[in-house]
Amino acid sequence: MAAIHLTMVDWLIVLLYFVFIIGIGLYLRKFTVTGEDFFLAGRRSSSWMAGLAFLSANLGALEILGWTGGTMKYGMFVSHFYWIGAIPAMLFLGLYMMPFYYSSKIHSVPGYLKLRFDERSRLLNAFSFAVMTLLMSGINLYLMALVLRTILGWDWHLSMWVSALSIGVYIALGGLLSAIFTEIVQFFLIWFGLFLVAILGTIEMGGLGQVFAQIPPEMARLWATTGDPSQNAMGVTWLGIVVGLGFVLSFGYWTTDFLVVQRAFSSKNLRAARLAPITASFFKMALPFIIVVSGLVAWRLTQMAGSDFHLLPHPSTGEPWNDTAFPLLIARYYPPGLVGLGITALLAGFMAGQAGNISAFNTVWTYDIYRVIIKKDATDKHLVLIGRVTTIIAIVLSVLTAYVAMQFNTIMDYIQAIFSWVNAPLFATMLLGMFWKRCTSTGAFYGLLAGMGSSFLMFLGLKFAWFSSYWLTFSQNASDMSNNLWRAWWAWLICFVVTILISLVTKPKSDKELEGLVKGLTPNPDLEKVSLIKRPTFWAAISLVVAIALNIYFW
Amino acid sequence: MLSVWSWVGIILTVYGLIVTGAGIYYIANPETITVLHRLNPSLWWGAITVVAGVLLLLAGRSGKEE
Repeated sequence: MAAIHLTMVDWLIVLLYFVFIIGIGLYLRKFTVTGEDFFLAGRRSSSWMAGLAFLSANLGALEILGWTGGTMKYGMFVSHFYWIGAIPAMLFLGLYMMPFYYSSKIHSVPGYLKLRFDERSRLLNAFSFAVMTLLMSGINLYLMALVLRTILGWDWHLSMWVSALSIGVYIALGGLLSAIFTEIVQFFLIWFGLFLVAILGTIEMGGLGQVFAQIPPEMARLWATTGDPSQNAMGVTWLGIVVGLGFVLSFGYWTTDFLVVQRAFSSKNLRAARLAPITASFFKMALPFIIVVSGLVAWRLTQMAGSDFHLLPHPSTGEPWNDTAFPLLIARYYPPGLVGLGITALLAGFMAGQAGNISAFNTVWTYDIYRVIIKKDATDKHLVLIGRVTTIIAIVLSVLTAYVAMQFNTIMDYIQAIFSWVNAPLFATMLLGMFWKRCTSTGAFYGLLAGMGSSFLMFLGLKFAWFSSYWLTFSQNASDMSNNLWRAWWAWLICFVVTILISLVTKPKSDKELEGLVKGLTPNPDLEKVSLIKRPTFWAAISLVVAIALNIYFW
Repeated sequence: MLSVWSWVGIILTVYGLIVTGAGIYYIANPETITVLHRLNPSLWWGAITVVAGVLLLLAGRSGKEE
């Protein structure tokens, strides 16, 4: 039985959202003429626009549902994925990496690999990114349909096709500009549609102090229990959090994943591009106040006699499903009208995440695969056409992947692990490429290959118990989460070391070829004469101070 | 081009008005009793949403940000 029943006013709000996003696509169609318009939103975004889109491309509804449920299991540890698992990497991207990305006027992250190294690295990254993005897009679609069916009783096929086709239409019409517009709409809908859940939950508990007073100490602290992995539900030490999450996984995702970085590429100038992730960092930091607070309230409600708060069973396992906690809180606190707004915010989150995958995929496919392998002399007009056609094909492939995931549930474990096969080693390649001019094309290619291959083998090794996870994690009771964090670290290290060793025995590019691509051969953007309040370094410093203060407060 | 802030302003204003209207209607006709319904969250949250929407519409009209 569905947990939430929509009234007429709720349906009106949901339907208006679909009309609205298609309207945005139709309106932006006339502003999307050239390749730069379609794939880079005309490079005219302000730092606010690019920053909010940067954040929203990552902030899907699955994250909100998943981490609210995760909080019920891991407590405050979920905040690590925001405060140490995102902020330092976002600031590093804005301050140190964006000048190389933006100044080289590339369309995509694989495009940087081509300029800095050669075609081999570009194609390796372009293909792996394209496959990963499409598979993730399909998985997200499947999970969206699963959630909508469970909490609203909606039909699988209808919710998948209606949302996928709506995304296809507005991306095919307005390209990245449509994606950015709808992502910013989604950002506001999430705050205005979902933050109230945390507020009302806190009121019911008697205040934020009471929320923390009523949960076990190991769920209420961030670092106090990380000295011994057996003392926290994640089974991880502070070293695993800092190295695996705070460094490799976080930097690998936030600084190299084209899905998010593409939004910053759309900025109108370098300063706006650098400010985009820095602006986003403030809002990223605030998200635990929706997600973690709601999760803690939900956990407490499940423990309270007479609260009448029961998680729905998982459709496959029949066990209580933590991911249903957030929708159940909506049902508990939201009257008609607000329910529609809350569900629309979740729908917007699902769809904006999908749109992000599709717009990033069509750029990489068009610029880094089609134009390189299939039609080298393609005109700008032809590329825009290919971008539009690719969008529709990508949507259909996503839906087909979703149907495969529906039939074979276990395939999802493999697909979700792809993230660390691709991103963690790529971060090592980017770091060396941008900050060490001796790094060679051959070193980068084989380093990347070794990093991705080793990550895949470690995944299989753990999955089929070829070796004990102790050898990766130094812990006898490592959770899957801990395994992932450590696997990402080793894959990064292998790529890093192999790239350096091969680079030392192969021929580097000349300084002239590396101008604008490597530190030392690129003008320092911090020498630009602007007031303090407009400087990326100023805002990054404030963001870092706030993040450190939050960590200390919840230590 | 109509700025993105105007688009966001439009949808928040419309949604805020609908939520506030629903809040008023359900005070008069209480069909669904939620936890904390006595706080009338639709009314004040709807009003906050309208104010935010109008502010964004004004920001969009000033045309400083595209």
